Amino acid sequence: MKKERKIRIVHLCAALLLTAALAVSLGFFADRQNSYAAEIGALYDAAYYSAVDNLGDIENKLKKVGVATSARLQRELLEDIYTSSEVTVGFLATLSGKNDEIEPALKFVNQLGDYSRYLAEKADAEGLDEREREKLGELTDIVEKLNEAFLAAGEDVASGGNIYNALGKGITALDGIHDMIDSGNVDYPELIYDGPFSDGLNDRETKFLSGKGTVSPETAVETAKLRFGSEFTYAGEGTLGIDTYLVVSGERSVQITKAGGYVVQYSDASIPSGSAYKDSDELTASATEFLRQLGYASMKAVWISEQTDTVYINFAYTQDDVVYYPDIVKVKVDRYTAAVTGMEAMNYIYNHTERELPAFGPDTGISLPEGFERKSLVKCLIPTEWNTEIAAYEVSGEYGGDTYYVYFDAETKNEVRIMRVIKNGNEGNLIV
Amino acid sequence: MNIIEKYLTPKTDKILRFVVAPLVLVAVVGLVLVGLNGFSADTEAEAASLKMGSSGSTVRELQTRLKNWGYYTGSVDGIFGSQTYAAVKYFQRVNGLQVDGIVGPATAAAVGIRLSSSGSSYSSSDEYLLARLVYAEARGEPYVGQVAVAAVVLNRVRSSSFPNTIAGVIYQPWAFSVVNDGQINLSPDQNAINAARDAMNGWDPTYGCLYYYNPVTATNSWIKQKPIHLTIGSHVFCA
Repeated sequence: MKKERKIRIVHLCAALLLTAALAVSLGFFADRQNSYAAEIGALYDAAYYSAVDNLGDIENKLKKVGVATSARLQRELLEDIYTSSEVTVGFLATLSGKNDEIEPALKFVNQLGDYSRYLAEKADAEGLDEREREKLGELTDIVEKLNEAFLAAGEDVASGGNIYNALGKGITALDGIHDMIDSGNVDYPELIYDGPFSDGLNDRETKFLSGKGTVSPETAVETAKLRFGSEFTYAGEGTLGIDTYLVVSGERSVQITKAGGYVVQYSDASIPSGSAYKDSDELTASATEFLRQLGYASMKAVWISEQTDTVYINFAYTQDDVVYYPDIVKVKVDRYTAAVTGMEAMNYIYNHTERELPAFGPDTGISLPEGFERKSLVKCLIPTEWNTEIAAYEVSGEYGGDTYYVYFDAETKNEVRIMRVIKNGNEGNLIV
Repeated sequence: MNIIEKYLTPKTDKILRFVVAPLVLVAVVGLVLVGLNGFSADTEAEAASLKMGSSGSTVRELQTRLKNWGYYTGSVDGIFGSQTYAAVKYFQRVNGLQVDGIVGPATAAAVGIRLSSSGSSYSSSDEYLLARLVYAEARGEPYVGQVAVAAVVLNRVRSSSFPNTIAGVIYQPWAFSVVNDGQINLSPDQNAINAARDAMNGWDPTYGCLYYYNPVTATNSWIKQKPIHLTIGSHVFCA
C-alpha cells in the first residue's frame, strides 16, 4: 500500500512538473510571438511614417513646380516627384496587405510618378503649358487630401498599438482615401492615364487584325493541325487584349486569333534532344521559315540571345531598309535541332499596319562621344513608352569595351534612347 | 490524510497516468521540436547577410550591380563601406524593402546575388525568384499555365496598382499564399525556370491579366466577381 502510494506521488509530481514545463514553454512561445509581432509592427509603423513623410515631400514639390518658371528647376522638381513616388509606392505596398482601401492610393501615386516623369522630359524640351500647370494644381489638391487622410489615420493609432493592426481592423480615415480617389469625387487629369502601362492599354486596338473576319474554334483547331502536324483539341478562349482560341496537343499549345485565325503564340515544351549545337545561321533560317509559313513575311532577325540550350530571336518587320521595331515577333529555337519551340507575336498583332514611309533627314549631325567605335547605322521606327512611334537612326558600336545601341530622332538628331548590352555569364546577353 | 492523498484517488491516478501525462509529454516534445526548428532558421538567416565591414567577391558583385543600376557611384573594391551602405539603403528604399543597409536574404534576392553563407545552392536573380513563385504556385500545371502565372507577376510590376519590382510584387503582404506558407522557398524545377524565362522574354499568354485563382480551391469571394478572361489548366485568369 505504501509502495503504491509512493508511485502515485511520483506520478503526480511528474505530471505537475510536465504541466509546469508546458506552462513555461507556452509562456516562452507567447513571449516570442509577441516579440515577432512587435518587430513586424515596427516595420509597418516605419512604412506608414515613411509613406507619410514622402507624401509630404511630394506635396511640397508639386507646390514648388507651380511656382517654378525655369525649365531646369521644373525638370528637377518633377524628377524628384517621380523618385519620391517610386519610394512611396514601396511603402504603400507594404501597408496594402491588410487594407484594400490603400490600393487606389498606391495606384494614384504610381500614376502621379509616371505623369511627373513624362512632364520632366517635356519641361526640359519645351516647358510646361498652362493646361499642364492646371493639371498639376489638381494633382496637388489630391495629394494634399491623401496626406490629410493618412495623417488622420495616424492620429487614430497615436495613442498606442501599431498601424498594421489598425489597418487590419479598418481605419475609418483611410476609407476616405478610397472614396476620394476611386469613386470619382476628385477629377483625375486626363493625361495621367496616358502614362506607361496605363489602364487604357488593355483596350488597345489590334491594328493587324483590323477588318479581318472571325474564325470558329473548329477552324482554329484545323489551323493548328495544318501548321504543326498533329491532332489538337480546343481548350478555351482568351478575351483580354487580343481575342484568341487556345488549342493544345500534349506538350504543345497554340493561341490563335479569333479575327483572321493567326497564330499569335506557340509553345512546345517537349524536351529537345541532340549532341551538338547548330550554328546561329541555321537557327535563324529555321525561325524565319517558321514565321513565313505562319504568314509573318518580311521579318528580319534583329536580336539574338543565347540561353543554355535555347536561343531567343527577335524579328522585326522590315520594309525599304527601315526596321519597324514596334512590329516585333519573338521566336524560341532549340539549339540542338533548330526546331522552333516557342513563338510570340503580340506586339506584331497590336502594331503592324500599312504605314507611310517615315521621313528621315540626312544622317549628318549625329553626335557620338569621342572614342565611340561606330559599327552600323540603321533606319528604324521605335516605340515610345507613350504608345506612339518615332522615326530614328540606330547607331551601334563599341565604347569603353561595351556594346551600345544609340537611337537618334530622325529629324532633330536628338538622342532619344541608349541601350547597353550586358554579357550575362552563361545565360546570354541582356540589353538594358 | 495529507492534501495529496485527499485528491489522489485511484480514478485521478488513472486519468493522470493514461491521459494527462501522455498528452503533456507529447505537447512538450512537440514544442521543443518546434522551438529548435525556429532557432535554427533564425541562425541561418543571421549568418546570410552583408553589412558594413563585410568584404570579398560577393560585396564586389553587389557593388557592380548597384553601380550598373545607378544606385552606387563609388569604386568597386569589394569593401562594404559607407558609400556601399548608403547605396544599399537607397536600393532598399526604392524597392520597398526594409531600409537597414544590411543585405539579408530579401535584399540579396532583389539585387540578384547569392549569399554564400546561406548554404543553399540557388541563384537569387529576379528570374530565379520568379521561377520559385511559378514552381510554388503552378507546378503540375501545363507549361503554358506556368508561363501565364509568371506573366501575371510581370503584368503586376507594370501595372500602376502594384509595386514596381518583381520582388515587391511577390512579397507584397498576402498577395501569394505560397509566400505565407513557405512554399516559395522550394527549389524550382527546369520547367518553372524556363517558364519564368519565357515570360521575362515577353511571352504573356494572358495578354495583361493581373489575377488568377483556382476556382475549386479559392475562397476569396472578391476575386470570384472578376470577369474571367482565360482558363489554362486549373487556373482562371482575370484582369
